[in-house]
Amino acid sequence: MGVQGGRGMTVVNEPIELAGSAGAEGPSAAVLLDEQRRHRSGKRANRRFLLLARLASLAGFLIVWELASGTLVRPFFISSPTAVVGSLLEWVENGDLWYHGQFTLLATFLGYVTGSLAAIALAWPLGLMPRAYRISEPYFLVAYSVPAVAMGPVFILCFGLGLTPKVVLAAYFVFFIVFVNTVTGFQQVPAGMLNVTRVLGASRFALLKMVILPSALPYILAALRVTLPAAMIGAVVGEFIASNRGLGYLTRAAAAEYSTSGVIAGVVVMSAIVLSMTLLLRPLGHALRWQQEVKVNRGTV
Amino acid sequence: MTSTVPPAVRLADVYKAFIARGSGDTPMLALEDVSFTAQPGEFVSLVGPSGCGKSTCLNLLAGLDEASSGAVEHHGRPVRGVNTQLGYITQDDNLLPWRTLLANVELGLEFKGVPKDEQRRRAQEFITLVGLSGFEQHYPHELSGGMRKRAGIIRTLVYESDVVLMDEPFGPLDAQTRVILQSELLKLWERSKPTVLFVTHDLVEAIALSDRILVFTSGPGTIKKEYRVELPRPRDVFHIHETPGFADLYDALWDDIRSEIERSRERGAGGRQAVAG
Amino acid sequence: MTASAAPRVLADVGRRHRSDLRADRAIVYGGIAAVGIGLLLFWQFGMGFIVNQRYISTPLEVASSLIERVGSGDLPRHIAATMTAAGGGYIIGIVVGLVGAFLLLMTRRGYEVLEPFLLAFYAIPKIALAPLFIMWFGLALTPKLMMAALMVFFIVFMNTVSGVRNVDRGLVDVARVLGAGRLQLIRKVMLPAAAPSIMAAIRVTFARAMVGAILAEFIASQEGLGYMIVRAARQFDIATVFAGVVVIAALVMIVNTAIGLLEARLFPWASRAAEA
Repeated sequence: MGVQGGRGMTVVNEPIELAGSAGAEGPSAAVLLDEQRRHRSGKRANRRFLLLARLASLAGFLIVWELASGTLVRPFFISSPTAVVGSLLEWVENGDLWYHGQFTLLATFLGYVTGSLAAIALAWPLGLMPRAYRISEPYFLVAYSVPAVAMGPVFILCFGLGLTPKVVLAAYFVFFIVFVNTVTGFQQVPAGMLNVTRVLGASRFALLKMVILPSALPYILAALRVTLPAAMIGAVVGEFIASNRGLGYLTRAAAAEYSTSGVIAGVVVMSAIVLSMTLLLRPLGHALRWQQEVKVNRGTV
Repeated sequence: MTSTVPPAVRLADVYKAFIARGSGDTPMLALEDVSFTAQPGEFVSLVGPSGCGKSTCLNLLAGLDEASSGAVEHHGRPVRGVNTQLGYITQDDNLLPWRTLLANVELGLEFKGVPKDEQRRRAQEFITLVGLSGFEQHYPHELSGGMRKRAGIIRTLVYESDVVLMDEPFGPLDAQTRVILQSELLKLWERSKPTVLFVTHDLVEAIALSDRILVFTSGPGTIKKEYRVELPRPRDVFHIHETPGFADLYDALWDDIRSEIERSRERGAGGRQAVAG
Repeated sequence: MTASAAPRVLADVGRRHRSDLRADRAIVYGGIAAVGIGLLLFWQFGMGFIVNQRYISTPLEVASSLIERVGSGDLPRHIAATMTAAGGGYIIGIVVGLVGAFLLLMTRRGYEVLEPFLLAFYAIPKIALAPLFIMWFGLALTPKLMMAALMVFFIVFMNTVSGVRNVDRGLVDVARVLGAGRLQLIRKVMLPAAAPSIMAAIRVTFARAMVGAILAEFIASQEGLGYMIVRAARQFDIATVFAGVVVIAALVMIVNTAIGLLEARLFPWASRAAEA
């Protein structure tokens, strides 16, 4: 279950130290300085190469796309970068982007909050009561095996065509990821740490407050960090299946008119939103001064 | 027993059996008929091959585990439930990663209801004592292994309980740090002279620190022999090898342990692995 | 103390353990059964007080819909269609993901250069591509296959890349010193060391392949479980909607179990099932 996502990139500005001597003087200081210079210039060259290579591959991709469209491949299939930008501009001008975007974002946000809260509220007691957890586990496994997408029509039947089914669907996408990780967080508290703290005189409440909760917190935060995009996927799926507004509807409407550029523009918008959500929530990973990030179970959404 | 004051800790005819993981449902014996006492102020080491039940003895006294039969007493009172009246130091430092060094050292005092400024004063005193001043606001992951070990030890010593259980506290450290910490531990111990039960694999460490050494047989653990360490105090752990009497004691201990290790190895080859203690 | 009390202690502890175990099993299995029966009874008799019964059907209706559709041959046909798309897409996604990852890793700095694009592409909600695929490939099997493959591809690809890149430097250095070439390094050191991470991806992605196939069927299709569900929903045949959901959950669980068993058989060193 432990699928790893993209690794967080960390930039370390490591000062060089000569092994065995902290503050060196004389000849060793020269060696240090020299090594530092070489290290820095190597790093700079590397960074410049990466930047150029990345820009070049992006530009190359866009140019090939633009040129191939209408010559090698019919524009119906791949559209072209200029056409996609055209669709985007049109949406911006006629207000569609903002109008549909607000419904998707609202459903995403509400679903994220309710899904996370419900998951934590349920996982907390179950994580602390092993037997209750074992009794409920098979049912969670079954529910977890239902692809969240399949629940779309069910929610739409139950809650109609408005905002509610999208919120519920978004919450459903979020729920299991947060639930699984929260339970893991409560279950992985190191036994040694619990024992030592108990002998130090901790009451049950103190144990919960000072050991169990803080030790589960990184898992919960990690799950909260990856589930905002999942919430948006849930909302969009709801809009795909049945809706008359939202980004999912906008994309599907473009598909119905065989506007390839519109569909790609929709994908670009959604990706941009997901990416900015990911970047926005990245600080959550470093929110705790005392701990590195933990591995998060991303589920199967 | 003629003394009217009960010993600081006492185990009498203790048996401990448990169901080892992977052994099916067959119970295995970890301790068999173990009896010993430790007097107030005594430093006692428990040595023996891996899995001989030394750590089990400490867990029984800490109330983290229950004897299958026999008496486990702390100051003449049977241990029931988690024993918060003594100190317990494990091989892992088990500092709380989300508390600073200072907050970790204050933890036990906090639980015991010591006023805040008194907590601060005593924690600070011990931090200074082991040379950790300046690191009060650091989190455990920002400290070196030796520093964390020191923090873990003073966290327990700072509330000056009269019995301290130490389960291979210096296990994972490198040789130099180990000796330095041994000497620091002795200095701290001399201050208030608690009773110490000290589990270790290291015979030199046992001799350097203890008044008495209990040698355990390999599982099921029983006490095979008891040695009194008559080397004078205060001891110099850095030159303990040169102290007269050291070599003889070391040889005698090593002979005992070696035969136990061979015995457990033969048994291991015959099938069942000795259970972890 | 003359006679050892060991036999008595062992017998006591064994007896207590067995009775504890019995009690524990009784509570847990009894609890599971009770919860299950309770849920079904509540759905059958109690839910109607909260939600309109029309929207949520009842377990009996769902069961009868299941039986009816199995009898008519309807359900087996939809299952076959969905499983073909999901299974085919799953395999395509794994193969392309592995090959793509290794091609990229063969280049010296390819990964570093492409990293931001890969991470960005990783973040794209793949589900959003479904309408595009249907425009491209029509209503038949192809868009479903592609959608399922795409859902699998990226996870396998990224996990392989990160698994290989996280291989212990020491291991690689030792192999280099021993004279391993680039290909040998990949085959003998990196692949086995990355195996757990690759296996993890393969293990969890079948459910994603199902999601891809079903979503494509939701949007436009003429057969498959997704199609069956959407059509039933339009006709307000809720029992069939739930029957479809139940079948999908069962299929996912069966395939996941099979993959777990197969994995333990084929790759005992990298398997979780073998550790348990």
